[in-house]
Amino acid sequence: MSARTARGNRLGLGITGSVLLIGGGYAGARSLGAFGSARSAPIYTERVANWIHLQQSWLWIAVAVVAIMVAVLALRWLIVQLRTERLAQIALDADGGIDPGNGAGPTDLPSAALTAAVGQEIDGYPGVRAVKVHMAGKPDQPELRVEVTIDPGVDPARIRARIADEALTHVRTALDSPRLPTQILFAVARPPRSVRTYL
Amino acid sequence: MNVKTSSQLPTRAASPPRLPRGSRTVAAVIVATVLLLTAGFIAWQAILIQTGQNLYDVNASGVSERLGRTPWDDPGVMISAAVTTALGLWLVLLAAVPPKRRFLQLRQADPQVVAGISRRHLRRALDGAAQRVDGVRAASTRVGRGTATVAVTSRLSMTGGLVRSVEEAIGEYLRLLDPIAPIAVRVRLSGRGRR
Repeated sequence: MSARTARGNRLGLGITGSVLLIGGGYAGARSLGAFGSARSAPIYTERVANWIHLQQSWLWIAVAVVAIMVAVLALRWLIVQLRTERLAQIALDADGGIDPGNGAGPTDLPSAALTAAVGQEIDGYPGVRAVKVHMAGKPDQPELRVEVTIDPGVDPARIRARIADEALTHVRTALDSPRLPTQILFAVARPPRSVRTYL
Repeated sequence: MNVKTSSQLPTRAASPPRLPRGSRTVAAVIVATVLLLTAGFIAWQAILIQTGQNLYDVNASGVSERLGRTPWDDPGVMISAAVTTALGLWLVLLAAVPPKRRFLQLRQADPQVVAGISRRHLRRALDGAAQRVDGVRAASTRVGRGTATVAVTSRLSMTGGLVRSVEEAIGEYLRLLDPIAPIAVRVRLSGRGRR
C-alpha cells in the first residue's frame, strides 16, 4: 500500500461521501418542506417528464458518458489498491552513491542484492527470529524498510541498537550515502510451547 | 558545474519515513465496487435507451408512474434520504478523521530512522515479560491509550509482592523498548492464590 493510494482513498471516499451527503440532504430538506415547495408534491412531476422528453437527443448520451467515466475511475480506484511502494532498482551515480539526479549517467543497482545482504546480517544477531527487508520510495530517494521478529525474552534495545549502528551503517557505506531513511517495525515471536507455563 | 555534496542529496530524503498508518482500504474497495457496478449499470441502461431498445430488468413506466404518485413527504422518501445522508456523513468523516495509529513509535537516536511496534506485538511482548516472573501462571495484557493493563494469574498461594514483581518486569521491558509516548502499567492479580 503506497502513500499515494492512501491519499487517493481519502479523496475518493470524501467525494463519494459529499455527493451522498448533498443528495440525501437535499431529498431530506424537500421532505421537510424546504425551498418553499409543497411537501405533498410528487417527486417525478409532469414538468420533469416533459423536460426529459425534450432533451432526449443528448440527455442519455450525456448520462452514459458520465456513468462510463465514473465506472472507469472506480475500476482504476480498485486496481490501485494493489499498488505497492516496493522498489526494484536503486539509482546510483558514477561514484556508486545514490544518484540525486545530477550525476553523470546513473547505473541501476537491483535493490534485492542490498536487501538480501542487510537481511542476512540482521538475521545473524542473537535473538532475531526472522527478518524481512525491502526498499521503497523512488530510485533516487530510496527508503529502507525492515520488519524484524525478535524472540520474546530478548532485549529489544540491544537489537535495535545493533540494527542502527551496524547493519544501517554498512548499507550507508555500501551506498556511499550518509542518508538512508529507514523504517524498522518490530514483531515479537510467540513463546515456544515448552516454556509456556500451564498447570 | 555541479559538484556533488551531501546538501545536493534530495531534501526529501532528510526527513525520516513515517510509520505506516491505516489507509482505509476496506472502505475504499467496498465503495469503489458499488460505484463500478452502479455506474456500469446506469451507462448500460442509458445506451439501451439511446439506441431505442427496451431497458433490461427495469420497468421504466412503472418506476416513473410510482415516482409520479410518491410525494416528497412520503415516509419511504424520508427514510431513504436519512440513510443516504448518514452514509454520506460517515464516508466524509472516514476521509477526514486520521486513521488509527497501528504502531507505537519507539525512541530512536538517529533522526533518519523510525522504529515502531504494533499493539498486538507489544501485547505479546508484555505477556511474555509478565509470564517470565516467578509464580505467574498466565498473563494477558490489554494495551490502551497510554496504559498497559496486565491481568496475571498465579499458582502460588502466597502472592505477596507478585504484583510488584510483575510491575517491575513490565516496566523494565518498556524501558528497553522505549516508546515515545509513555505507557503506564497496571497489574491485576486474579484467579487462585489471590490475596
